[in-house]
Order: sequence, then structure tokens, then C-alpha cells
Amino acid sequence: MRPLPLLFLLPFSASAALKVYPDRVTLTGPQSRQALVVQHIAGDGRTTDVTANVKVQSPAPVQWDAATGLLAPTGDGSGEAVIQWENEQATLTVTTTGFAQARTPSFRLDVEPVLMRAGCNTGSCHGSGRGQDGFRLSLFGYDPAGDFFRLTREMIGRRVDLEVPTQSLVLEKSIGAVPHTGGTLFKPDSDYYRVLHDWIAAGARDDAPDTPLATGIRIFPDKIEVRASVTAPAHHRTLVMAEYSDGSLRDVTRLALFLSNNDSTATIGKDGTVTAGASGGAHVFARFDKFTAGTEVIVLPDRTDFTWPDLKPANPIDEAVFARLRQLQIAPSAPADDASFLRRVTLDLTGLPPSPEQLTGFLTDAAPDKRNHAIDRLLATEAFTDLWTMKWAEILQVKVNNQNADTGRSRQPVWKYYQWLRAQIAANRPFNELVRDLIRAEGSNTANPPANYYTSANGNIRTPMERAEDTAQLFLGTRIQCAQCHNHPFDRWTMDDYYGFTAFFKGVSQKKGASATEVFIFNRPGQTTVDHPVDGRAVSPRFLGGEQPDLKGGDPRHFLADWLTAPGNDTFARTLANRAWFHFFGRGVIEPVDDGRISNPPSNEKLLAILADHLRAARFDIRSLIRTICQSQTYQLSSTANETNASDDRNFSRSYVRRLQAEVILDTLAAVTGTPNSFSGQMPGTRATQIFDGGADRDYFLKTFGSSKRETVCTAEVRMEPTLTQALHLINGNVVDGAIQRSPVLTELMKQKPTAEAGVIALYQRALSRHPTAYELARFMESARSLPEGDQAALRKFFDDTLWALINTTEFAFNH
Amino acid sequence: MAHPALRLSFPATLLTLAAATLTATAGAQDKDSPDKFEGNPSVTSHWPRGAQRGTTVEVEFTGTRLGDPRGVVCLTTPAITCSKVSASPPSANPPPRPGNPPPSTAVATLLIAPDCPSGQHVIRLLTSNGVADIATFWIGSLPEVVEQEHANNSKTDLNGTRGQAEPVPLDRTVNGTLNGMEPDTFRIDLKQGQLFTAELEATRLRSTPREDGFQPGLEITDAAGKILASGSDHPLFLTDPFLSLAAPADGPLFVAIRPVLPPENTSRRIPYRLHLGSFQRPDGVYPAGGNPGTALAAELQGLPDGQNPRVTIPLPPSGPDFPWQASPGTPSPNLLRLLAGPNVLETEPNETPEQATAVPAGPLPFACNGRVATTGDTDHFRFTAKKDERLQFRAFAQALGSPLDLKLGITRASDSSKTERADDSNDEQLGLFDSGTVREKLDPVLLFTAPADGEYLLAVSESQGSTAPQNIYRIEATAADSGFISTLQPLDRNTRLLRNAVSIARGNRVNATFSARPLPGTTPAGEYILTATGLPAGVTLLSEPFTLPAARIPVLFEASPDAAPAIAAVTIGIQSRDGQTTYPDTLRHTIPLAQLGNDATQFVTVDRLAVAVCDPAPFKLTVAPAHGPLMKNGELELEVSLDRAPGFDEPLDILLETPPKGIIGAQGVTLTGDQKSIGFRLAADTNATPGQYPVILTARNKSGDNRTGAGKIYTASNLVPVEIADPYLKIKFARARIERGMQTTVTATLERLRDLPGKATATLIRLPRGVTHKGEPVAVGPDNTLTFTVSSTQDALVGTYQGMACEISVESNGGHLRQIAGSGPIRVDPSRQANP
Repeated sequence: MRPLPLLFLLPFSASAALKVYPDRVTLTGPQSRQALVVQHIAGDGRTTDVTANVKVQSPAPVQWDAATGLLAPTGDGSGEAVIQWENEQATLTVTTTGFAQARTPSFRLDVEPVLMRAGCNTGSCHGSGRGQDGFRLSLFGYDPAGDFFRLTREMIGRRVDLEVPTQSLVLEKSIGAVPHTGGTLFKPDSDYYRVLHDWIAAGARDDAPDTPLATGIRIFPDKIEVRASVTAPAHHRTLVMAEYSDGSLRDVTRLALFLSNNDSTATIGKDGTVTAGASGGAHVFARFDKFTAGTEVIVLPDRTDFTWPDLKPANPIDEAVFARLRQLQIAPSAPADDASFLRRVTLDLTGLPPSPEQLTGFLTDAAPDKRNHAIDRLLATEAFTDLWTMKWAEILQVKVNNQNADTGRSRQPVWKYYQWLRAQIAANRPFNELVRDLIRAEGSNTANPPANYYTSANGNIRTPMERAEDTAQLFLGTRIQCAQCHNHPFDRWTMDDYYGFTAFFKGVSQKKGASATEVFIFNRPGQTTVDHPVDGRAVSPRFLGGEQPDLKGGDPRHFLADWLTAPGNDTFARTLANRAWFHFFGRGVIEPVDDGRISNPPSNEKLLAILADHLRAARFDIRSLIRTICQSQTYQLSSTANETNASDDRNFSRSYVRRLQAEVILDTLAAVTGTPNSFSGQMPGTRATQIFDGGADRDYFLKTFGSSKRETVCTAEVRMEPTLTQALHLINGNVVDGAIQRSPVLTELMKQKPTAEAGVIALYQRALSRHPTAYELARFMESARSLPEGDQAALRKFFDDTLWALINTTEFAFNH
Repeated sequence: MAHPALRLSFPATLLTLAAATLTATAGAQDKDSPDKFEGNPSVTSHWPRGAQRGTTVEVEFTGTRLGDPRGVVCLTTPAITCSKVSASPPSANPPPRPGNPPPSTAVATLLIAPDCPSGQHVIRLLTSNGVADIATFWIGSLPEVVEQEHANNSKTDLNGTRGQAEPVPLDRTVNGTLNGMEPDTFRIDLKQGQLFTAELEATRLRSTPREDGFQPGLEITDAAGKILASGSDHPLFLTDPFLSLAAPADGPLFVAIRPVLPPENTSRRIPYRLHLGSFQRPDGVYPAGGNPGTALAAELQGLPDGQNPRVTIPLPPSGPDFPWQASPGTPSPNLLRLLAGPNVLETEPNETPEQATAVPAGPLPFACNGRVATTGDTDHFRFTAKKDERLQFRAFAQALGSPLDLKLGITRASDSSKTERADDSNDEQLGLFDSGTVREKLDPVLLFTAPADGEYLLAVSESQGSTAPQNIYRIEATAADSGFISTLQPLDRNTRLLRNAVSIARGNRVNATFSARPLPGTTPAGEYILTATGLPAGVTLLSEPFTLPAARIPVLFEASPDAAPAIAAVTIGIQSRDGQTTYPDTLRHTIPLAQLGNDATQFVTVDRLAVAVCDPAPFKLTVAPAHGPLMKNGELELEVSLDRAPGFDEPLDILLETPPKGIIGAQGVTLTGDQKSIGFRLAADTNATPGQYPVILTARNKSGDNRTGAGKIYTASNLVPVEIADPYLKIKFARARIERGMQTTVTATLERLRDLPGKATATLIRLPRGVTHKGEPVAVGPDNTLTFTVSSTQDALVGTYQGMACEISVESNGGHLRQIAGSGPIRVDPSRQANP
């Protein structure tokens, strides 16, 4: 791992009650400024921004402007400043130097940040691949050398005018003095204008080779915790400090860009001021150079009568979730009743509903740990293996492509790939080993099915870039695609990172195998570098966010596989754990599960750490993690919301109602009616979750309900949105009606000669895994009153209609 | 194929027998009513898929237009002959689809000689109208039985479980079909310790692209249901498994064949042949070859109980391929190779150059045999070569059914800095044409010229990490292969199914196109012609001379009016034009058997061409000799006349299927039912090379299937020589402009390049829209100036247009020759009278 920047080691705290950010100020040159943020922390942890009301007394020659919150030098000197607010005080070391001589702005340190802050180099402006109105900048400044060339050399005397700097087009456009599609970006009296002007006036020179580079940024304060208020929303300033390769620190607040990941809870203005909104948790981020940093904002409800319900944590998962809920003053829902629990866990673990016998047995079981027993029983089923194989088959794109045998995605190898994957999951193979097999895979894709990891479902031969992107997204939960062309705007990945990671796959090649439908995957020795598109430099393999391995002539993928799946690779464990969590809540701790980035932090960091630790401690035994998740109180909470958690959608304060996956609905329909489905090209008796190559292309029902097309590594390929077509298909389509007409379950029910009431209760138990409510039963009995006495055909019709109605309830297609 | 490695071939000594293996049945009757002209037949399936050698078997072909069958030919061996063929009553089930011809069936009685090689063979059915699709036919050594479920055409599963297992005596081949993806189970009674092998031919049986593939699995269980062996594939046969074991006890064993992966369409019955016997089924023989006519001491691999028995195999006197059966009942042979010279076996350790196994010095050839036993194992052999000596190293591993993906490297022993490498091979190196996917291409071929006298190292390694102990290989070092090879080209690149046989209507002609090229050891010189050996009586082949390599050689087959209906397996030879050198057996014709999406995935390569004489066609095409030369950048119209049978009025397409280089034939020329003649226009490129070229036109009926050729009737015209000549004239335009709505003159000066054979006139062509040449064509007079009158409409497009040209029409031998000459701009101006 890269060494932690100095910035993160600095102590920034002085007084428990009054905190000053930063705790040390160095001002170099007459124009330098340093923002201060002074925060008061109350006994209950709530914070108040008191910057505007502090007094600053400093032995060093500085001037404090409380309105702007800026310290400015008035001469050279140093000393301990005292910051005073009401009766609290804190200290701060202040040093001012070089006051006598103004510093010439640097292109990389000053000019490029202004262009970024003003939005000049965004994709919609000059950062677009073709530039804008004839002028192009590298997107988000990934190529400073190129930007320097285009500003100063591409049209000499036009963009920068050394003779009359104010007539430089870059200045005139920025202030709107000449027509500019991008509008007026700043005023002539702004610092931004001054920086550009002074740089041009000084000869618009490029930086010296030893110019220090930014190595990281940090946003302060560390935490903001305020109470929501509709009438007087709380405001809180933030401050962004950058560290440079020479060890210097600099206030870049006015050059940074800001964003929030939850605008309803906290917005952040262009100046970095946070405004609290509705109660909840949010993260606000600052972006400067190629770095993004965030800090947490907690907005408490505007009521003070919060009490924690009588709910004990069952395991560390609950401890983490409950701690977060307490912090946000959200009360979790009550635990779910037994029937709801059994239906939920059975659907989640097997993709099938509990049978009426299982339901009755469970409800009448008096054992205190019957829920744990149920979880263990379900984890041991073949259906669990089928369901989890399907989940991984979706993102590993286990899909047949018959159009072109050369691609190696014919039925035979794809079927073998599926069988291999299923065998791994059935045998509870540690997931890190499974992933290692995939990444290291070579040879025949039929004799060694993991080699299919490198064949492509879309029919084309994959590029090293696609292979790298997919691997990062699948197993590191990271989307590095942006960094192919420019530094990632919301994450830390640069083009160097991207091409370093791509280089692991440079040598991966494929050729026709012995049989027509077989391909051989192999690594071309010596092909271990990719060319950097900006400067053509050969980039060697480097782990994402990590070291450069010494390949010693070996296959780079072996090094990658070992690094990626090592227990020490936190990102890998967190990604797998988060993917597992997602299955049970319909939402990851990081959401989306494959888009982990600095600007998308986990909604509960502690929870994700516990899940990842558990997975590691269990040696990547996925069943063990799932067992622990299912045993948690958090998983077993009711889906009924209370006053405090109705709007919570990310802290797991209740069971979120989730639509069942397409395959699960279809299998549930078959289980409830007893009418099996059949699918073309599959063995007789195959359930929807067992279709080895995915059902989206072969079954209208599955396609309509959003079955994954298995064409990308995105989890989002499984569509869960309810649509009108789905509703109409259930109501009018032949699937439900046909299944009911042919239903052996109804035939069996009729043989038992039940009363209408007994039949309705039995169908409720079968379809919805619960007893009807008194109201529901009464309504059904109302319509049963018109049944002719002893007319079995009419009774059967009544049961048909009852089951049809139950299948068409929202409840049927949802897990709750 | 009998073995994936074997190119189907039969010994040259039997060639004469192959020529006319037709047995014509009921005397061929001439067609007298138009509804009999039903075109090319189509075979979509046949049953059974094989037979025991030394027996007679009735094979039923199902398809369309099979109502008048005439014979069957085998392209791979003379040991399969047809004694009788007849139409069988049309089946009512399934009914024909609307617009499609009704399904029909034909039954042929095939005699399989006792010495017929086992494995895959290729047969074709002839009807009165043509040669049907190829069908593969598998020959085994065991008596054959038919699965009861299939024999009874049962819709329900009769043998899905052990309890329902169909008893089969030991040493039988079961011909069965999998229906509805239910397993088929068979019971065999065995004695304890008895060797038992079940070998399946299923995916290998695919014979037409319409047959869908699946993945079969085999399972042997004992009476208690314990699985003793199971498998779904093996490197020897790729996707077809075999299982071998020693019976654990006296009593029954159960063999189940079940699809582990069903085909896309599960409604079809999928045929298989399951060999259940006491035969040995080695998955490899080491070494896989030796000197011809000697006894080879070899070790068999892959037999039960892990023992590799040592055997002595008498090798035949000639090769190079020797399909060897381990025991009399073994269905598919193991391939052995015969080569003179040292047959070297590797001596481990030989991982380093220092440890290299030495090849005795001496002249070529030699063979090196070894095994790649561990990952990263490299075997070294040391050999000597003379400066400038050309050596061809050909590896055999996949060809032997071994899973190795070999790499070869050759380094000078005294200088390891430079290595010649080979990883794979291609059609050219293997002496094949467009062979599609064949596993032999994973076996590298390395052509190596020694830079100096001395010792060299051959390094053999594996690239896919495939290192089971049975991974045998053999490297043969020979002089480069010499000779020529040829192939029949598909006339439509999109479908290699179309016209991969030659069906000639009696008294008519048909054209075909071949390609030919030399093998690496032969340098072609001068001109060559194609020859055919074994043509049916009355058939002649007309081949114009060509130079090699040749991508498209047009030839004409002609059947005399009195030729008897016949089908023959014909050899295609290449002969120097002076007749001094002849290579009689050059055909390497690859035909696809199975298709997946857009790709053919299974192929068969044969060295015989099916040539047949059919009943007269309802039309005959004649082309009159050209009036004169075809000028570069000019056009020539050929007069085509058609002789139609009375009552046949289907429209016919006229095509130039094999245009000589530089010539383009007219597109979309159709003769309607009432037309007897038509002009067929040829055009020559500006860059065409002057010279004499053969032109053959084809007539084809409109109906029938353009992809498979079913229902099509083809005939060819006589061959007409067409001369491409330099133009007569060169034309230069003066600057030209015209005003909208006006008339003007365009002048051009001409330069005579050659004497005109007759009167010539000129017309302006390629004028912009709204501008036209006015009046009659301008006569080319003696003054070398041409003046054209052109007029413009009011809405002619304003601007300058390039490309105005002149069409010269020259009278020649009663016809007209056309030449396009000159190219210049014309400017269209707005009308000056027009309102601004």
C-alpha cells in the first residue's frame, strides 16, 4: 500500500469543546490566505460552527476577517495564536513568511486548479474530447503538459497574450468581456482572475521540473452533527487542505469542488458551507486536483423524545447497525413474526416459498432457537446452491452465444462453466479460492471451465481494458472505467492506475481449441505492459491502489490473483461481504454494490468492516457469513415502519420490502400451484433459478420480470422495477392462468373435499405463507356464499379464482 | 471422421474399383412431363447411422425429391457398395409445410465388405435429378441391434431406468435415439474381472447442419445403483465419451446414456451408436508409429486398472496413416503413423539442451516420440542437418487424440540466441483447403532451413498446462511435402452446402470451379490442366490451362446424350499441359457437417468427388462465339440461346459464376418462360490484362432453395473464349459548358490506337441530370474529331460534373462491340434569361 500522507497523521484537535481547523497555519507571500473553521462540540456530540464569532489574538502579524473566516498576513513572524469563543479557547501555531515578495503563480499549482474550479475542463466544456469552440483542455486536468501546450503554444498570442495580458482570450472569456458559450465564470477582481493574470503577466511559463505535486487532500471538520430544523437550518463551514510532495500544506478551499451524497440531508455550497436538511446521515466531499475527500454530516431529528426500544443485539452485526441507528436517533422496527420470518428467509435462501407443512411445523415449534435451525436447514438445501450459483452466473455472464463458435461461448463450454461454478458453491469452496481460479485460469475452456472467465458473452474477443474493468468491478466493487480516458472525477483512480491494472491482462489471448466450440485461453509471455495514451509510456502491472509486483517473467495474473484474494486485501473482502448483504436487504452497505468509491462511502462503515472481518475470519466461507446475517436481529426485523424509520432507506432500521427476482417469482408460482415450468434447451424439471445460461432470452415471463441478460458485470442488470407489463402478464397472461388450470395442488385440495373456508386458508398458507386476516377471510366467504351447495366444479372454480387473486396480490411478488 | 485425425482416404490400389460403384436400378426413364423436373434432391436424415462390416444393411434416407432414387456412392472407401435402391412410400407424418415439397424417403441396400475400414464414411444418394446432401455412415466390427424404444417408435420412455433397462448381449452395437431427453439404459451380463467397454458415437454422428448437437453422458452402474464409471467427454473423441472397466462381480451392469446438456430443440430424436463390448479401448499408443512393414513394440494407455500393456503391432508396408484397431471389436481405431528412418523415443531426463535425446545422424526422415508429463516439461532432441537443407517438422498430438497443445522450437546447438518457433499449423502446412475448425491445426508444423552444417536442438513443450500422463506426441521430420492439391470451390461463399457434388444432366453440361496450389516442397512451372479419373461412362471434363497457384479454375463437365445414369467417386488430378507430370490424386474437399449460429463447426474432408449422370434437364444453354474482343473499360454482349423442354416455362437466371479476372458479368439476367434467347453483357475493368479467357455461363431455375440447392437445376453453356483487348480509340474532350434550357455542342478529339474492324459510332454518356445527348450517335469519321449536340432542361442541376464519357460502338462480325472512352467535365450554368 502507498504510505499514508503526512496530512492524515497531523493532530488537529486542541480543546475538547472548541476545535480549530487547522491547528497550524503557514502563510507564504502577501497573497496567501488561510481559512479557519472553529467548531464547538457540545456534551452530546452536537457541533456548532462558531467561526464567525471568534476572536483571534496572534503574536504573528496576521489579520483575521471573521466574515470570510480568512487569516491574511501583514508581515513576517510566528507564534501561538489564541482563538476565543465565549468562555472557550484554543490555540493555533501561525507562521508567516515571504511577505515582502509576491509569489508568481505556478501553472500546475495555481492555474490548473482555477480552470478546474471554474469548470473549464469538464466534459461539457473544454474537457470534452473535441474541446469546445476550438479550445480543448484535458478532462479534469489529467494532462497538464498538454493543457499548457494548448493554452500557450497552439495559437500563439491568442489564448495568452504576453504583451497585453488582459487581452488574453482566456481572461476575456472567463469574465465575459467577449462572448463565451460557457458564460461569465468569475469577476476581474476575483482571486481566480488574479492568478491567471499574474501567471500570464509573468510570462506564462511552465513549471520547473521540481515543482511539488499535490499528494492528497483532507476536508475538515472530521464530523458535523447538527439537529434538523425547518425554520432555521444549521450551516457549517468546511475547509480543504492539500498536502504537497515537499511536505507543505495549503488551504485549497476556494479551489475545491464540493458535492454531497445525500442532498436531502445535507447540501454543500460552492464555498464549502454545509446546510442541514432532513434528519439522517450524509457525506460531503471536496475534490481538488485528482483527489476526493469526504467528511460525515449527521442531522438529528428535530424532536428530542427519542427512546431506544427494547431490542438486544443478537450478534456484532446488530451492534453496528443499532449503534448507527442510535446515533441517528432512529428506532428500529419490531422483530418480524414467525410466519413472516420463515417466508422471508426461505425465499431469500432458496428462491422458493416455504411449503404449508414447513410453515405449520415452524409455527408450532416451541424451540427457542428454531429460527437458527431453519436457517441451517435452508443453507444446506440444493436450492440454496442453485440460487447462489445463479447470482454469480449473472455477473460472471454465464451466457451462451451461438452466433460465432470462435468466441467460446457455445452451449457446451458455458454449460461446463455453470457446472463448475455450481460445484464450487455446492462444496462451499472458499470464495477467494474460487476467484483466484477465475483470474489465473488458462487452457481449454471446456477442460478447465474457469477459463470461460476470459471469453466474452457479447461475442467479441475482450480487450485487456475490458478484462481489467470487469475484474475491478466484480471483485473490488470499483468502477475504473472513467480512468481509461481521464482521472476519475469522483474517486482516486488516475490513468496510471487504470493502465497499471490493465497491464495484468495484456498477455491474455485466446485461440481455437480442439473442438469447434472450445477455445484455449493463454498468456503471451513478455506482454506485460500497455501504452499510456497520453505520453505513450509503457505502463507495467500495478495493483489497484497498491504495489507494482516483481513478475520475474511469470504470468502477471498469478500475482494479481494472489494479491486480490489475499485476506489482507480489505477491498476484496468488503466487496464480497457487501454483495452478500445486498441479497438480504435489497441494498448494499455500499450501494450500488459495484460502485465503491470515495464519494460513495458505506452507509455504515462499522457494519461493513464487521461483515468483511467475519468473511475473512470464516476463510471466505460465504455460507457462514450468510448464516450470521440471517441470524441477526437486523435481518429479522419487521417490515412495518415506525414514526422514526419510515423514511430510512439506508440504515437497515427495518426489513425493506423487496420485489422477488424474476426467476424466484416463476419458481414460486410453480411451487404454489404445483405446476412445473419447462424451458427450451434445458433438462426436464429445470426450475427458473437453475437455467444455466439465463432465462432472459428464452422465456417471456423472465424477460418481462427483468431477468438478467448476463451481458455485463453490473448487478443492476437484474431489473427489479415493477412495470405495467408485469402486472398485466400476471393478470391476463397464460402463465398464471395455465398454472392454475393444470394445478395438481388444487386437484389434491379438491380430493380432500374441503369447505370453502378451509380451502381459502390452505391457499393463503400456500401462496402467502400466512393465515388470512379476519377481514380477508370474511371477504372471501362473502363471495363463497353464492356457491351452489355440493357443486364441486363451482367450488374448484372458486378456489381457482382465490388462488389467482392471491397470486395477483402485491404481497405475492414481494419479500417483506 | 473415423478418428478426428484421419483424413478420409482409401488406398490408391483400389482406385479403379472406386470409379463406378453405382448400381442403377429400374431403367432410367426420360422425363416427359414438366412436373417431373423437380430439381436437386435433399437428404435431411438417414437411418441407421452405421453398420457392421461384412454385412448388408438397408439405409433409409429421408428428405425431399427422393422419389426416384438411382444409386448410392461412398466417397471414402470402395468397400461400401449399393446393391439396390428404391423409393419407399411417402410418409404421411409429418405433413409438408405449405409451399414445401412433400417429404419423401428412399431405401438403399448397402453391402459392407469385411475389410471395410472402421469409423466414419461418407455416402451420397443419387436420384434421377441429382446428388443429394452428404451423409456420414459409421462402420463398426460388432453385430448391430436396434434400441427397442426406437424400433417401436415409442413415444413414451421404455428404458429410462435400471428397472426398465433393455438387455443387450455383450459385444453389440446399439443403434438408438434419445427421445425427449429421457435416458436410455441397457443391461449387460458380465463375469467378474471381464473387460467391459462402452464407447459412444453421438456428437460425431452429426451429418447435416440441421441436426442439433447435445452433450451426451455415459454412466455405468452396478445392480445396486452404485456408479462405477461416468463421463461426458474424452480428449480422444472430444465430446463423445467412452468408459472401460473390469467387471467387479458376476452379474449385470447397467449402461445409461443420458444428455447432460440438452440440445436447443429437445423435440427431435437424437441418434447414437453405443458399442458395448469386451474390446480394448486404449486412449493412446506409445510410440504412435514406426517404420513401415516392421513390428512395433508399443505401450497401450488408458485401459482399466491403470496398467499399460505392452503389445507388438505389425505395421503395414505403406502409409503414412495406419488406423489400428486394438482388438477386433474396437469401434474407432487409434491412429498410428508410418515413416522410414530412425524412430526415436525420448530418454528422460531431457529437460535441458545438454540432456537432449540424440537422433542418429543420417538422411531424412526421422521421427521423435515422447510424452509431456509435467507442467513446464520441455523435451529436447538433438539432430544434425546440412547447410540449406529444408526440413519439415510436423507434430502429431491432437491428431492422435492427445490433449496436448504443442509448441516446437529449433535452435542451433552451438548458438542458442536464435530460435525458430511454431505453435500451430494452417491449411497450407497441412495440405488442406478451407478445412474449417480441425484439431490438427493445434499441432504445429515448422519448415526449417538449416543455416549451416551442424547439430540442432528440437524443443517440444506444451502451452495449455495439459499434462495427464497419457499426453503422447510424435514429431516427424521429413523433406517438405511435394505435389499439388486441389479443391472444389463453393460457388456461393455463404453456403458450402451448395453444389458440393457434380450432377450432370444427360446430354447437357454443368460447370464447376476448382482451386489448386502446390505443396511447400514443389515449385510450379508452366501451365497445368485438371484431370478426372473414374468419371461415369460418357462424361468428359474440359479444363482450360491455368498457372499455379490458381484461386478459381472454371471447368466444364459434359455428359453425352447416351450416358447411363451413374454416380462415381472421382479422383481429381493436376497434369502439366505437356502431359509430362501428373499428380492423379489432388482433391482435398472439405464439406461442413454441422453448423452453429453462423459458423460451420464440424467438417469432413474427402479426396473423392461425387460425379453423377442424371436424367435430362428441361433446358440447355448455348452461347454463340463473341463478335469480337472485349475492350478494357468496354462491354461485350454474348448471345445466349436456350433450348427448353416442352412445357417447361419456369424463368431461368443466367449467371457468370466464375468470371475471369478483370471481367464482370451482368447481374440479374433472367430468361422468362417465353424467351428463347437473351443478350448477356460482359464488362472489362480498365486494368484487365489483355489475353484470351474462358467464359462459361450457367442457367439456373428460379425455384428451389438458394441456400441448400434443394430443388435447383443447373446447366452450363458451352465454353466460349473471350479476348480482352486494348481499346481502339482514345478520346479527349474539349472544355464543355451548357446553359439551362439551351442546346450546345461538345467536341472531342480522338486518337486511333488500332484499326477499327467496322463502322463505329459514338454517344455521350454519364451526363448530369437534365442534360442529354441529342440526336443519333455520331459516326466516327476520318477527321478524328467528334461533335455532339447536347441539350439541357430548365431544371438541370447547376454545377460542374466530372466523368462525362463517350460510348463507342463498333460493328464487328455482325455484332457490336462497346468501348467506353474519354472522361471530362461539363459545366451547367444557370439560365441568363432567368429572373434573378
